Amino acid sequence: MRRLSTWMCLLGLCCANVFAAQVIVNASVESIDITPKDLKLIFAMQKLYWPDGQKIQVFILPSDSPIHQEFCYQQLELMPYVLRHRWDRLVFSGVGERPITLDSEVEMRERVANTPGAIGYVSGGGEVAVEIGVERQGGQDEVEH
Amino acid sequence: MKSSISHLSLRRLSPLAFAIGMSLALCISFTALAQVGQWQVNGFVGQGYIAADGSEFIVGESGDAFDVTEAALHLSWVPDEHFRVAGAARYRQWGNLDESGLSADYLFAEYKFILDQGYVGARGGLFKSEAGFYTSTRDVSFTRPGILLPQSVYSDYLRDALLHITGGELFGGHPVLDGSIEWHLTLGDAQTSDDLIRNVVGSEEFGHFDADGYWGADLEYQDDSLRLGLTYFDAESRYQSHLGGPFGDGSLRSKHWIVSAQYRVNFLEFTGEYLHWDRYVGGVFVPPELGIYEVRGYGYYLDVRGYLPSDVEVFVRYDHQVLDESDPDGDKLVERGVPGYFGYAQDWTLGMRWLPAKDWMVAAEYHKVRGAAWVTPILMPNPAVQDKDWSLFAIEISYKFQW
Repeated sequence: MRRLSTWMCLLGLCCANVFAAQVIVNASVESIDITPKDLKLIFAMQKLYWPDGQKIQVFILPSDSPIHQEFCYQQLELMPYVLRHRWDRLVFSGVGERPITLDSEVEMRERVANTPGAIGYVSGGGEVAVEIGVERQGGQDEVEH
Repeated sequence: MKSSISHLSLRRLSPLAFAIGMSLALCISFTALAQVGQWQVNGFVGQGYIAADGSEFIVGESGDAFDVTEAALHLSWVPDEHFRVAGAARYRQWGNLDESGLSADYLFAEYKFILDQGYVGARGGLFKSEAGFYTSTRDVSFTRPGILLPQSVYSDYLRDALLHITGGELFGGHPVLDGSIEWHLTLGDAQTSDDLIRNVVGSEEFGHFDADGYWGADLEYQDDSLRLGLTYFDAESRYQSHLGGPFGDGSLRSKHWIVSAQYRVNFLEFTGEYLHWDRYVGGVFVPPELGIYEVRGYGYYLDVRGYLPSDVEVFVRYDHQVLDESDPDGDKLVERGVPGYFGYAQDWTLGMRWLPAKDWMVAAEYHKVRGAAWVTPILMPNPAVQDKDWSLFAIEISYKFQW
């Protein structure tokens, strides 16, 4: 039993590495010194504007995708259902919007790069947000802050 | 009977036309303006079945009800950082509590001012009340804590009077500590309806309510694990009796306080809400020589739920309401010839919710109830069809969608 637990723990760590999420933001955002607290508020749709007044546009991957699950658990330290409840409440009471769900990481990179004020995530292991723009999308020209 | 149906149809025609017109207008606007702003469409549909033993609450004489259906289409358009328009049309039938009908759920415009820390804004039109944790989303299966809301705080008989506000409100959101605070200051009129009349006095043929002012304020703090809320509102309405009805003309005023708290730790969630009200009734069932009749009551519930693997949620809830805090056992009712159990209600609920796919939900719950404080019609209790100890079972399947 003890051996089984050890293997499950190792498997969990391996999976965590495979699906680790990297936050990306549009190049129009002046300051991307995003604290963990900011990140939680942004993805809970409680923080709506960047410090420069630009509206934040949140993109997510499908809620049953491994990257979304990993992003919620590791980066936001929230269980996915908590976010889902908050978004449903905003939408169905009429007072807010949910994040826009995209189908793939390719689309995520493209939409974040092309949408002013956008934030999203892709697979990767970085702890700090990465800025991407139209001319810099694709990975090699990304600028880390 | 025929005249009552035609009367009902006419009463529903206006919101129906309004809802369809609103939806069409919003769709056209969205289509035309999609290029200059962002829009979202969300909706859901739910179908339920409810059976009761020892009561006609929701189910009527037959003992069970399939006419438990809810659906809504929500539209939102955001042309720039500050401005926003939102509207929703809703279809709902809820046994004998809410007769089948399509109506406008909300339609408002809002403007936000950006602050260094958060935002403030103003909103005008028809919008939802934010009282407590669940009022604004009480009609949506995915956002309720169960098929039936805890009736001690969210009594279905008062649903129509406390759900929609026509008027204006100031609101704001600000980061505080590890979370954020949201607040609303609201001024306007609450809504009235045939359902409200039927659930309170027994029949829409007895009379009708007219809203006569509403103001309220609420404050809510939320972070990762904690959610705290405080609501106060003051709502007035006038009652006009029809010829031959059992009650006279009069006025009703309700002042409500709601204190709410929710704490989440790992896979467990604890929720409690406490409602205290002062109600002032002049006329209606109160003889004129007695002046204004004041009654204070309360309700509260405690809910513990676990979020299990495979998107399964189980919960147990205790829900308690007392209509008159000076008479918790209903002794004064007995003096008037009404059984005391119409003065209180204690409801133990065991329930579960399961999301077999991300947009589908199946929910089921069982209620074991002692008392009938919130069983309709409130002013015409009928012990012949309502037991002191009774039970209710409900199941519902729901689907939500978005574009």
